[in-house]
Amino acid sequence: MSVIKASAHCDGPCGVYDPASARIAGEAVQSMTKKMLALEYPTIFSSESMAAYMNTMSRYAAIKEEEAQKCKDELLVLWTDFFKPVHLESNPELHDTFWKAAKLCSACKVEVSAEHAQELMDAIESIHNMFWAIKGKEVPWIRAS
Amino acid sequence: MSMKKTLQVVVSGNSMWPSLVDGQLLDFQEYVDQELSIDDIIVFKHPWKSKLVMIKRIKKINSQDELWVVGDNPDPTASEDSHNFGFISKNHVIGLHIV
Repeated sequence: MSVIKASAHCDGPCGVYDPASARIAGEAVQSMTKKMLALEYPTIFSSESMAAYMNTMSRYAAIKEEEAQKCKDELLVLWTDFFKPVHLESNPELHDTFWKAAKLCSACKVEVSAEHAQELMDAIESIHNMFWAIKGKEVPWIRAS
Repeated sequence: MSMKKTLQVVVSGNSMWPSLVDGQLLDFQEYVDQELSIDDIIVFKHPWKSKLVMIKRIKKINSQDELWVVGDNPDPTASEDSHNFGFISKNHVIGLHIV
């Protein structure tokens, strides 16, 4: 009797997904937000001190803007490419979590809000937990900062 | 009563994990016109790649009697199935797993 070879392979090329990319970008957003809020206004007004202050603040804002967009992009790829309808059964809050997380990325760009930056990190942590539960692996939530 | 042939099938890949693993050998009954049910494991021809034989589990049967087949592996990147190619016709089915 001949043996039939039945394919049980993936939809190659295999996608490599990891919410760590969003987490790193989210941490950068939070870090820049904290630095912006902590940066003290110059007490001695001079061209040099104001230029230095504005330069530093501008750099923080630019990085926050860039990393928030990066975080949003990473989250949207995970949401639309990795997760399938079947995962809604075990994670009924999946769409709501991603939608809020994407909205928080936008809020963190528009505002300088420590509260929203923390809420973004909390949402990414929820996504991390959903992702690794689906993959069947125990991966602890660890922050770089 | 027609005698249906027994087909030997070897699993290649991990899309059916944890139910079936790579390299596992299984007996299937040749599909002629048997009743197919939800949760049956079948081998069938890929609807777009006729030379490719696949193994999946039936998860839905629609009103046109077409089959929605998916892998058991919970990792969404681990299975090319009806999420990629949609419902398949029963004409593509080759064998039904003998439990």
